Amino acid sequence: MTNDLQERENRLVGRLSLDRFRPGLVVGAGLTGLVALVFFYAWGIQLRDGIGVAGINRPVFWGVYITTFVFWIGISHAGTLISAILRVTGAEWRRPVTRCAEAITLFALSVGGLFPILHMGRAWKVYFMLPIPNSRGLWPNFRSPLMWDAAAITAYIVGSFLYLSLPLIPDMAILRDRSKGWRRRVFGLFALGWQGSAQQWRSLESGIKVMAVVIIPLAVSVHTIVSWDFAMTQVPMWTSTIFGPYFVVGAIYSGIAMLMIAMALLRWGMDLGDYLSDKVFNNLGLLFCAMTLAWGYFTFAEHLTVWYANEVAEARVLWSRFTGKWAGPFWTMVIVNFVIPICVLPFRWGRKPLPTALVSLGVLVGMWLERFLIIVPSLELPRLAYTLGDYTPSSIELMVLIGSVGLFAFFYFAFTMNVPIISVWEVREGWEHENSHSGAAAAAAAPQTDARTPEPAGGGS
Amino acid sequence: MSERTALTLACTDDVHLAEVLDRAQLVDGSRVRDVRSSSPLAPSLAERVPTRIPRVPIFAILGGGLGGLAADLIASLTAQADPMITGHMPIVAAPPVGIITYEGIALGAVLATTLGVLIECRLPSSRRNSEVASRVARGELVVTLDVPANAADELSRLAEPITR
Repeated sequence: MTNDLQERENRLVGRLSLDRFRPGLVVGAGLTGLVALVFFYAWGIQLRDGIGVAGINRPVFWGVYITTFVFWIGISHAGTLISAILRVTGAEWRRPVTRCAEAITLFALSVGGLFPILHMGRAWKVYFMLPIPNSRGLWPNFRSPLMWDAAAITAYIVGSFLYLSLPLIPDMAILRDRSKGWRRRVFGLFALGWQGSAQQWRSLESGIKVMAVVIIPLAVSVHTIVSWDFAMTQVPMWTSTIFGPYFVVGAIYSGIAMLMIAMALLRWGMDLGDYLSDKVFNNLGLLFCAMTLAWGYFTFAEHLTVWYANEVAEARVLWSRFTGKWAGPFWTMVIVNFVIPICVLPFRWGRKPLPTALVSLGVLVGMWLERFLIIVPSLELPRLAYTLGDYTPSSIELMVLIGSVGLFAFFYFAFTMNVPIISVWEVREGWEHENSHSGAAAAAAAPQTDARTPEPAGGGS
Repeated sequence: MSERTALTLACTDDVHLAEVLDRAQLVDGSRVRDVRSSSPLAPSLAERVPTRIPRVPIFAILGGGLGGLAADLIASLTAQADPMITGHMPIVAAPPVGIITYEGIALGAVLATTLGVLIECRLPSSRRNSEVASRVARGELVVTLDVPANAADELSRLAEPITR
């Protein structure tokens, strides 16, 4: 049995290809790295020329940057939250998914966290947000939701990094003991001297469980707080009591979409179909389908109440989305976020890798549009009509947006090249559970069979 | 009192390990010291290996408490250091301080949990038996028994000994 398990483990480690040249990954990392340079190029221009190169101006002081910030923070809910929920509920099919999901969280947060700094314009003043004694006589205002954001995102990024790192230790030890030369030393450094003793396993599993329980409310709080950046103001269509859960649902929805795309690419690019199997796509697809319905419900509830109340300032924003300037993006959002997923995901054929990846691509576009539509029309049409404004994203903002996608993908490629993107020990543990269950089932079945039928001569088959 | 020895045996799988543990149990004065494996042991085997109850949840609770206290102090003392009137709120407003405290609790708990795992696992560590490590990497289960010297030979026949 061990030989069989070991063979399967060897095959998995081989597919993860950490010790051989994988041209697809290298080319992917190279290309996305080039796109990532666009991000830094555009940011460099902004640092040189000032925040004026971005299209934001009074009254639309939040544009593509904050939209993209909210988008990436939403994407970050893919990993740690989904992984933690699946761990806490003991879903066995989670095993190959958790690490690729957790990596998404870490990198999405890393990219998203740059946007408030970018949006500040004078990025070198970021330390003004820290509550340290200073000669300016200025202190951060913790009554501002923006400071809540800083606290929540800091806690979440630290938590996500540690939640990703802890289960990585035994895998680093596996790689350490399988490799030679400098790789052995590097993996050995990250394995921290892990030996796989019974006490270590027990403590690690206890730690992962505790962390999963802590991470779930933390993840929920992060996107709730992001929603409060909006909901705590008097801007039309922002003051909403359902914004917290609405944002959390949207975040999980876009997070699953990103996870689906990542899983599909890993499955095709690294031949991981045996692990990121149709069953995994089917199960995650069901969750995706449920989130489609939840997102549709919240969106409907949000717009219905504004439409019914017909308050002048809010109705102006609402109709600019329905039939006005923003009707195109709004209905595109409705189609790609709700109509298409609901036509595809309820069916088993729709929960295969290709359909889910295509639907997910649409959902990512739709969720970015959703955040844009929450922010821009409301700021363009404020309550005081003398400050009406018009907003078009500048080329710098668009370059930053595209570059951020490249930066995220580059991080992900680099991670996949250097770290097992599937948790080897967790998958192996799953195989052992399968074997012990099938063994127990066989043992339970055997005496009954023996009792009923005498053993045929020669042992039979 | 008879002489004792530490016997390290490499078992091929769970069933083999169970056999060794069963046999060792029959030897008077024998004790399982540890089992090393490349994935967690099956629960039925894990309960036969003496381990301490991990104190990681205690670390998490203490860390959460400390983190919450620190965050509470940062938020409330900062507000007092710069007493700015905002939106009819008191200088130290409970809901915002509560939110910061909540995040502090989470951050403290996560950091302390990690610290707890490292302490409980005795990591980082430089002690490593490369023979045992390579066996574990090959998927074998390496059990270390503390047995009377006169029983070592008999037990050694059950599985391949690594060191004695």
